[in-house]
Amino acid sequence: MRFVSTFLIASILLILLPLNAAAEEWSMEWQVDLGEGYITTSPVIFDGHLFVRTSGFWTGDERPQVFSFTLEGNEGWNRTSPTTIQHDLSPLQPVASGQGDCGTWPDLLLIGWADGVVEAVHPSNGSVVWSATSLVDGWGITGAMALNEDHVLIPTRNGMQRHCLSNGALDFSTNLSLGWRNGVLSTPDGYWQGDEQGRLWMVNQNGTVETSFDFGGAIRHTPLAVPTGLLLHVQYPTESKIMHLETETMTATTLQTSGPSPAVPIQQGNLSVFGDSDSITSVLCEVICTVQDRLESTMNGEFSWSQSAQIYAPINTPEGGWMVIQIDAQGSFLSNSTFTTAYDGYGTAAPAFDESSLFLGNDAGWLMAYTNSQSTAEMTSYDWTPLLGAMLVVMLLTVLASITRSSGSEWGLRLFALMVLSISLLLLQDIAQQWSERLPPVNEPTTQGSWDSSWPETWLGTQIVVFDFGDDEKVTRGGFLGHETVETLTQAALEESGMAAEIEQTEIGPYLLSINGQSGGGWEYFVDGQRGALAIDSAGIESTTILHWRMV
Amino acid sequence: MFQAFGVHGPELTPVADLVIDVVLVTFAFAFLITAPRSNRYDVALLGTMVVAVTALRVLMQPLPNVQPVTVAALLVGAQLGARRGVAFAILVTLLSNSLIGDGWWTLFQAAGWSSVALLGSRIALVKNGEFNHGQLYLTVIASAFLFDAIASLSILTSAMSVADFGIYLAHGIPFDILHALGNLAFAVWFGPFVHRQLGGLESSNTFEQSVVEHHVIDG
Repeated sequence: MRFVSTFLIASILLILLPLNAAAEEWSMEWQVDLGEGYITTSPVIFDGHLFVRTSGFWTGDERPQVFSFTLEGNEGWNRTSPTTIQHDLSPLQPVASGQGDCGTWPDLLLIGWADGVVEAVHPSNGSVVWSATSLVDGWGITGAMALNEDHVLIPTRNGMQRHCLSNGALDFSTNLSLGWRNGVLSTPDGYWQGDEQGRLWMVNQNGTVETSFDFGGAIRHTPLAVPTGLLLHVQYPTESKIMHLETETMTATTLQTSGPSPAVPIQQGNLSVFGDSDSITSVLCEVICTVQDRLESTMNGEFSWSQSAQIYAPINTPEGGWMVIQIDAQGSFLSNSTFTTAYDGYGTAAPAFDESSLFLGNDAGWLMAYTNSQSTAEMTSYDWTPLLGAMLVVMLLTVLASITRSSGSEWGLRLFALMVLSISLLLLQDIAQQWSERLPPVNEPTTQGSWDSSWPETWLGTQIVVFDFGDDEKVTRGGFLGHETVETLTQAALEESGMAAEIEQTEIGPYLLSINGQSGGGWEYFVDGQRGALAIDSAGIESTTILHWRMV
Repeated sequence: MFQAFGVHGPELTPVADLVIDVVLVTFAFAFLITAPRSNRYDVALLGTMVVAVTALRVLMQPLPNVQPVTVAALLVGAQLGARRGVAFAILVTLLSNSLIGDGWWTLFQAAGWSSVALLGSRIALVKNGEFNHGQLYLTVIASAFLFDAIASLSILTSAMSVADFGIYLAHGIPFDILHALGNLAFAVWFGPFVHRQLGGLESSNTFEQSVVEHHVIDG
């Protein structure tokens, strides 16, 4: 009787388990290597095709490109810019055909290049419909464009330009200040755009500057419009601030102080999500704007929303991957997991979604396509797997209890041990992952994969710098200790070598131009075989790092 | 000697690999030779156990951190003494790693399982010829953590602090627990069987010793 009642109670408790919506399950469909460049901005799906751009070429004759693919992974066309430079990360802007006061236009794909050129191309074949130029000061166009009826607003290096969509005719060009990754927000009242000096500009429909506000830090994203004004994530030297600007009174309020290197925030209705090197933060703006939730992560790129209202955020660390966050309408982070691929590493590009597919890429330069193995309808249905598994466990325990009662403890113990081991094996991966996420990261010795056997063994376990001038001309110095950034280690190696370097201070950090007067096509650095993606004063190194400087 | 520092400790040159293997084999046979005298049957049985446990380890490699060698080393050490136990541990490590993958870590795995064999020889798992199940189960659980801690030493370099190593060990706790549960399952299922097999080995040694002593006395 006690046995039966215990079994029934256990079964009833299991039935009361809360309903659990099925998680998205993705399976790889196809992948394409886009070469040496980074995929730094989200692919774009338009008119049944996938468009993606790459950036950051330094080697050989390869240059930044824009590719067109079918959704099945067949390449349609690619467009190479022979003149552009690094930082080609302005998001591609699709434009549906239309007409307006300044003319009619077909379907277009707008491309902003880092050499200041903006092109409108036919999505079907990549041929240029019109093009325009803008100022280049180090670089040109890096921010997100905005559409305004029959015009396009372009954030140029030093200001804002508005062009007619039908023929690219310039409406106005307004000088503001130097910017980087600064997008334009188009509103009925005018156009908002930030700059590297921390000033937020408001430009009227006729191109004149209406007003501005000084935040004192760099603004590197398109401002977000909320009922009460604007939201911005402002970058300061060692931190960032999520700020609200009341546009009626031009009064700014800090909602949250957070980590450095803000990401490009995303918005859906009254809910906005921000990221930086410390955390992901949600902000809900109703009567007032309030911070709703925070999640630890390193996120410096773009966000995107999936079809099932999950946020995907590229994790910008060597381990990479994309954080998948379930968020409710109030901005609470309900759960999070990591979407991993075979090419995980540094990344800033968000995935693109269509009905049942996901397209993504990162600094590894692989474009990957996944399909959802569950339909949308199935995802909202009840998942019986946990309940069935739990019932199986209960039944096994019941059998064990019965065997133990009748045959003695020996067989009962054997079956119990086997059951526990089996369940542990099944749960190990999830438990280990959850456990590791709660611990500090392991500071493992860095793999010196490029160790040269000709180097002295006294350099083992120290920091080493290689200056590669090409044509087998290399200068190597080692035995350094205690350097924490690429910059300080480089300076130490240069000093020991008796070489001089020209370093330019730019808005995004120091930039090495030449060593001993040699600049070639530029200098790029690799930390333990990984191409550097940060300014040299921000790029951290390990105690056993091998730093390669290579002249292109 | 070291080509580079890999993520599992130094990457060994082929010569260094060979040196370590030769040293380990030498130790193993030294322990075997200095162990109490055995006849051919005993040697064959111990050799068979080495091969069987090696095969089991290779077959179970897909199961993360389920190590039958730990329980086997403990039981061999408990019933046949420290020397045979250590020799058994070293030979199984060398033989199985030649199939799975040999490197710097082989040294530490051999040391780990040898320590387990030594632990087995120091703990009274058998009393009056009867198997102490409770003591065995507790010891196999502890052996998992002992082995994992020793084997983890292979990743230490001069650049790693004690705190870093502690964090590294902490990350491995779920796998250590799985190792312990695997040991427990093996001990529960196969402990008595192995005990019976090794019991024949042990009793044959005892019989031979008493015969020798008897003849000496007679002599």
